[in-house]
Amino acid sequence: MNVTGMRPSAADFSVNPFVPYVGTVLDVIEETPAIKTFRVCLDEREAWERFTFIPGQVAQLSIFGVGEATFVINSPPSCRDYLQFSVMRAGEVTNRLHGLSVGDKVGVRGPLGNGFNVEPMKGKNIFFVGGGIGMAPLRTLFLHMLDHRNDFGAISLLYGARSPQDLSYSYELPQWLERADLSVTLTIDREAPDWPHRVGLIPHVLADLAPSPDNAVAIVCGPPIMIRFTVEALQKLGFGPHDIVTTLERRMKCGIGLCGRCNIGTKYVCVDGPVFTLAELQSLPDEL
Amino acid sequence: MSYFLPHDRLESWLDDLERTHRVFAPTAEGRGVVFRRRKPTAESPAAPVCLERRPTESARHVLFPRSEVLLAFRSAHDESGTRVEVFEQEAPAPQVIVGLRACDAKGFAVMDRVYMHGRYADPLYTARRKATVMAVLACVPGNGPDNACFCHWFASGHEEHDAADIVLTPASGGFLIAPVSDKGAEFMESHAGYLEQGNEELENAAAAQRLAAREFLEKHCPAPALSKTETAIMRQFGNSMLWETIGEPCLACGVCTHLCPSCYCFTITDETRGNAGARIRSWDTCLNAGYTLEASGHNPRAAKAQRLKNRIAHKFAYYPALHMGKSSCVGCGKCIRSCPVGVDIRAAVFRVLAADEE
Repeated sequence: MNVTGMRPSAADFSVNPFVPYVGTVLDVIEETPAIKTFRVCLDEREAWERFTFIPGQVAQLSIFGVGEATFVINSPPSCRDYLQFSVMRAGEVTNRLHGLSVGDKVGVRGPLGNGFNVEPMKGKNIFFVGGGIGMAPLRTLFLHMLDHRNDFGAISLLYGARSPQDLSYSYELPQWLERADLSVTLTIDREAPDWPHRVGLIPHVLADLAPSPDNAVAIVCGPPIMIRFTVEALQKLGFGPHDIVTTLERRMKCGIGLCGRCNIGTKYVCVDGPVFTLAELQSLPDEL
Repeated sequence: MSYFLPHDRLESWLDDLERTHRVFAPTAEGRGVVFRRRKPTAESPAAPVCLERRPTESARHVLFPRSEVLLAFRSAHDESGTRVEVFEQEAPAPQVIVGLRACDAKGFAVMDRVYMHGRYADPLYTARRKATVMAVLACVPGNGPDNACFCHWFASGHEEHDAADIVLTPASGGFLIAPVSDKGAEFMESHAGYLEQGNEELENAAAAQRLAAREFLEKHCPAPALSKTETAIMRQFGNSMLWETIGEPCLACGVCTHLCPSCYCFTITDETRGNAGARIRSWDTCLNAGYTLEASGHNPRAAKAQRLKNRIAHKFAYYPALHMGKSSCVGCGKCIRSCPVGVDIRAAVFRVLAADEE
């Protein structure tokens, strides 16, 4: 490939949003057989200092020569040592990402998307419901709220996966379970040996826990089918469409609202999302 | 201020523009009329310009190439580890597109709202757009509107100057040339060497020709109530019978999107050779099944009818909702003329409106 006739890039997202920052993999964590977490730092000090985001925003993570894919930044904004991405092996780019080792170079383009609207959640009881890889977008907001614990009412988390081996962030769960100012419930789909927590599908466990909708916001992330039944369960409990918040996935390329493919009606998931309230989703054409 | 360019000086004038600008103009190639860089040299003159027939493609690729390098990269390894260098395109040279029609120019106005004035500006498009002068050739009877044209639906016609800098109208054995923007006026001042002064008589004759073209359009294909398309499409969104009927003959080949002056979707792919490579942006089409296919295997628009619905809905509902009621279709008719199975976007719009009135 010839770079004649081209100039070295200033690598400034605000000037050219197609150019990624070059970053280095600091750490690789094997979460589950299908999910790996990567901790990445940007090489340029200035770019790193400029890189701020709000919980729920995403970035395009890339391997030069392979391609980009979109992931939520699942570390909280207060973490200034690295950006954390959890990658489920699914397609071409994610397969290659799973081959990365500490010290390897990646591209990071972002922050992109709207992120969670935290302000109206202040003073309210927060109920997180995460399924499988859906824990990633919740993690950043969950940790952000713990950073500002006094701004919120009761904080609860219901986190489920198929089996104990499919729970990501298992190394963090014990400390969350122990905290007196949190209420954490774990569940798996089917019985497993030595499993001390709940067994059952997330919507069923949710109905059983029956959180009160009064002065509360529910934040739901997970596979589409889990979101569907969890949202139904929340509505039965009395949560209104403005108090149910979720994140959408869509195939993305540019991440900046130009390339066209992630639209649902007039909304582009890459810039208008990925976070939507149920009320917003209900106003979109039925094309999920 | 207007100018007159006699027909026999057209080629010389175009060659003269090369002093300051890269010139793109329509050229006849087989049955097509396509936009090419002229690049005349002392040894080989430029291929003759073809202004007698309507271009068969839009000029979109001049500002938004079918495929281009978004960035290049090169990695180097040594004892201290790996370094990756990233490169961007240089700023574009000034250029002029001569002989695009008003509908094609309007396509750039459609793109400008998204690519220059959206939440993120596309730096490559924006730089080229600013460096480009648009010299539009007005359609006149005998050299313009045919049965597939419907630019009058959107006021894309010749008295509207969306994105145009200069308008050339065939008149009295040559062209009346009128600047319609400051950029166009400035351009004409430095390129008037081969031109004569225009006059009121020529201006009136040119205006009459343009009006005649417009009258032809209004007679052969009256416009529907475009203000109703947005609501009608959204109300009929779930009417799968309707969309399947509209999409039934479609081959999902994407020729409509590739010839369209206002389709602007793209994909991004990486290529490498050795320790260097490039991230490349190429035109894509929402009619391609892979366009929305997710890594999980889920596809929100798996059916052809859903994809054609997206194209029509984007032009006549989504884009107008986001851009003050303006449609992103410009009525050039290229998709109608070139569809191998005769899908007619006008018929689709009429069908949706009719279904919604039932």
